[in-house]
Amino acid sequence: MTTIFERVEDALGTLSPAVDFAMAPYEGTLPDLYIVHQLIDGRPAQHADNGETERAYRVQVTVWSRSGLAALPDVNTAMTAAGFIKSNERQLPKDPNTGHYGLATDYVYV
Amino acid sequence: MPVNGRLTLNLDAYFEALQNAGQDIDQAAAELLETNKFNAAMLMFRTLQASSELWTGQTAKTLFVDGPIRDGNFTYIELGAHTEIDPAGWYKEYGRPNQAAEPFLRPTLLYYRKGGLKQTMQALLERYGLSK
Repeated sequence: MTTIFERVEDALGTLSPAVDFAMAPYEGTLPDLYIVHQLIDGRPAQHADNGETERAYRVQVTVWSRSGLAALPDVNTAMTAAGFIKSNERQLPKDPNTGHYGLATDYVYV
Repeated sequence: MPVNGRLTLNLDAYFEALQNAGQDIDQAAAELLETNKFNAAMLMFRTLQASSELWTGQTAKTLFVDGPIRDGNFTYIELGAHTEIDPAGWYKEYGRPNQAAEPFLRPTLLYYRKGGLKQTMQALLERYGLSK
């Protein structure tokens, strides 16, 4: 069975041009532009005959960029093409230590 | 900038039952939120504590739950962390470039969205001798 993590990585793997990505936290030297993903919540969404028939996942995908947020990889198209539904999106404060700007978007997969 | 959220979801049928029984909807909404206020704060705190790799309690000091607040027909509470005091709430909830998120607000909101508020609303209806 395909895990939620595989689904996210398959989607991010379709980005062109390719962008470094990893499950959070990104380890090693931080690139100027990269993406991390993380499962925020996964819970049953439907039951039948005393069994779970559907599960809803909420995944946070964050683009970190030292050059700002004006021109970013099209994560939304990649994720929605893989069956995710876009949810809340927010700009994160510029990190004072690394100089990265962040854009975090939640995606839901049922 | 505070991290916050609002709880208003999927309670129409419960409020309709109250309205049909001639009860004050605004008062019921305020009562519902007042009942949940302390629980929401505790759930946020516990989730923060449980998800923290290293517990210092610093972020916990910035947590808040305000309300119930009335704005016309809109009754709500606000909850989150005062990130203008300490940005740790931002970092915990959404992560940093080399640090994974340790979310505490979204799981709290999801708990209420996925059933917590309905359970409380059901208890409220029973207090009025009603059912949905």
